[in-house]
Amino acid sequence: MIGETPRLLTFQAGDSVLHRLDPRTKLLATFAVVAAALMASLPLGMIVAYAMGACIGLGAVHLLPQLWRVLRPLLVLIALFGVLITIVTPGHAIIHIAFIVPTTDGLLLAIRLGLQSLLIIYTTSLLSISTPPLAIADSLQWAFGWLERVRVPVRDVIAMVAIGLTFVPLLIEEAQKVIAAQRARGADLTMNALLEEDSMGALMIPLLLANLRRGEELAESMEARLYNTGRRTALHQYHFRRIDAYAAAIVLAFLVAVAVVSFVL
Amino acid sequence: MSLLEHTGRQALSVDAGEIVSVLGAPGSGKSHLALELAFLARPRDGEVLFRGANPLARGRGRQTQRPRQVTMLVQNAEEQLFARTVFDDVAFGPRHLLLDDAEIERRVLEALVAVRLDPAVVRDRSPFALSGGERRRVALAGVLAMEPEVLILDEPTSNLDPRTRADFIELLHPLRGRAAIVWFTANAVEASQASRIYVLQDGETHEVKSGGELMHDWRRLAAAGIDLPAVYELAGALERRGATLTEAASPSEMREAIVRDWRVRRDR
Repeated sequence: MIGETPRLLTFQAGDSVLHRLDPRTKLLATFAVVAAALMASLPLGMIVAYAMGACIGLGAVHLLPQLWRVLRPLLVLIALFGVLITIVTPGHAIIHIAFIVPTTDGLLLAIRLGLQSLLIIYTTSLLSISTPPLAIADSLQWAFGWLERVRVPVRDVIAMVAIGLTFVPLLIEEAQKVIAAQRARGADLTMNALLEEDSMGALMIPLLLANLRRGEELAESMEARLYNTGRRTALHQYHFRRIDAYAAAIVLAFLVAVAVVSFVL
Repeated sequence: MSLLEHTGRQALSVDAGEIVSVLGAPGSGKSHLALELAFLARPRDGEVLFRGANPLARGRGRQTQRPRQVTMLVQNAEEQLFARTVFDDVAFGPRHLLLDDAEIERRVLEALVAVRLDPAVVRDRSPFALSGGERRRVALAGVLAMEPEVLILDEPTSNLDPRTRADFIELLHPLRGRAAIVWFTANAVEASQASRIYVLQDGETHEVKSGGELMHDWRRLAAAGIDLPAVYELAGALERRGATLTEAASPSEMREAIVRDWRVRRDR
């Protein structure tokens, strides 16, 4: 009931091209796709941006069916928002149906936003499925470490994010356990019932307590192993390899192509 | 026709008024089987039948619903308490049955008495103010207040200290009259108190002899990774070193067999 989507989005070990790339390369590529999606013009720029997404997808074809299961429900949501945007945006009317007036401007905006969000979700999902959470955290630190100089606690924030990401599967498991337990004693924890205050508490309070307990244990065990917030060395060092250079070149080429197609042509 | 029945490779059945135990090593799949029997997980194979019918089988135009007469005490059930007072927590299930207030109150008080908590003392306290053992009893009361026909217990004594554990087991015996019980455990001594015993190993159940007879199979139980009293571990270790012990079942017989073997060797 709960948890199909997050489970599908957690890291899965594998040996695809995407898995073999340095996590930093993947992070930068993700940023590049986001940038491409945001600046792409309709329709040519967007076509090139989607070609870029498809090219990245080729790096891990076996993950795509699973990704489709994540994206499919989102398509419905995007379509719904699209309809809404088409109707509420002022502009040149396509047709008048009583007081509902879809406009061409609205339609174009809806298409653009829909395509942008789909591409961004697709790429970030690929990143999170093909990269261990800790590697994502390490590369975020690599990318944003310079902010430490202006006293932004990058390390601490990233340590928190990394721990959070690592525990997502456990949280899902925990939630399923609580739901089963409360159903076993007669509760009707369907989605409708969850919105009642009483049933909400039956799910949220045991979950919250379990998480506090886990947090406390984790903090103690980290302190027992002398975790502190100073400068740290890494157990796993990342090295850019030739494959990363190829990937970066392809991504950069696509990014430039999107820019050229969108702004120059 | 049994009250509750599993027809898969993990076949087992329980009738009204019976305590059946399922003995399995940690990791043998006890918890999943327990969820299957409580209609909270899809059986890996076969079907689970309640009164001879599968309530989750889709009929034409009929919504399926898990039978409320089957309840389960999950592992470490005290972690699932959440309400402001003990009374409210125990009343959580019955309230979902849409009973009137007087009936809810009767059931809650009866359930608290059945787990030997004094309703006058605990009913308005926070469940989080109680000790671990007491909280587990409140959780059991919450399940009993459903007045189930089948009660599934998933390692009800796990993570309790030995004395609390013994107290808790004493609670379970009088429940025999109220509901059929399926008691999952990794401990052979606990299991031997049931009227029938299944061993769960490699995803299959086998019915074994019950009561004092259970320990006749101690070699097989030890091989299945089940908790046995220390004397059987000693016996196993001696046999691996070449001792030949006479057949013995109960721990005291086993003790004698070991001593006898030791005397024979000494006199040789």
